[in-house]
Amino acid sequence: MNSKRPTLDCQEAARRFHELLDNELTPDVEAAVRQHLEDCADCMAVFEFEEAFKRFVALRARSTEAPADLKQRILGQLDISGAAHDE
Amino acid sequence: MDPGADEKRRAFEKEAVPHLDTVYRVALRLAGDQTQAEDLAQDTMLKAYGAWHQYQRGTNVRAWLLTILRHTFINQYRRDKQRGNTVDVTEYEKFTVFHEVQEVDPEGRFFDQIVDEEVLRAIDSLPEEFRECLVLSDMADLSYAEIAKVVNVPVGTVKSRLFRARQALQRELYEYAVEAGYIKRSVR
Repeated sequence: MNSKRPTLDCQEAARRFHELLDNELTPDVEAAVRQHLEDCADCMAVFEFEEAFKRFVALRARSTEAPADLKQRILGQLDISGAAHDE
Repeated sequence: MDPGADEKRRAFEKEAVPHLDTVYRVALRLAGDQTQAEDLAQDTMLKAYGAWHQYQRGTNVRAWLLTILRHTFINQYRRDKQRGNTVDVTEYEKFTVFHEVQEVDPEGRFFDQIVDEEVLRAIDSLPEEFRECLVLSDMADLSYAEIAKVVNVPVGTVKSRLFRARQALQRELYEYAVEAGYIKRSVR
């Protein structure tokens, strides 16, 4: 860690990495974590690894698409289903 | 078709149907079987259409559809024996793989060599309560608050399950990558 005094230590910052990646931090906490990352190369390396992993999982997990005929089947059923539920 | 029904159908096709891919992906990870996932996705969309008047405009329609999906799955599809549980998430909760790969691959490029099927298999091996949080976040882009509402647990629980799910998944894929020869195990 360098000479600047971050408002969070490494452990506190690391606990918030996932929330930062998920855009779940309040602006002041986000600023404190980002400040820590700027000041601490070790934490930045871990954070960038976690960021790359999250991106990797999201990309791979979204590779599947619904079968082409599923949408048509659903659209074909809508009015029957809607009528049944609206009554 | 009466004008009200016509309007309802147009609104549903415009707002809900575009999320079918996400609904199907989540259904597949919950049901674990393509045929069941198709049935579950279809049931979900038809129930949503029937209950369209209950959808609050301006709220996240994807979260609403996935709430219906989860209820439908639990009530009609879940088998007695839950899938997953081959990974012990508690074992890995505090450890990122980074410390083991930092000397050879600090950017985690070895992950890119792992095929989609293996990633999905690893997701499926997570215990259900962890898998659903991961899927709702990383596949469906829901916020912690939205996930908490869908699975009916506090936000803090979502945060903890998601963190542990990602760490366990990371570990599982790292072990696979070592076995497949994509990266050498660190001797520390």
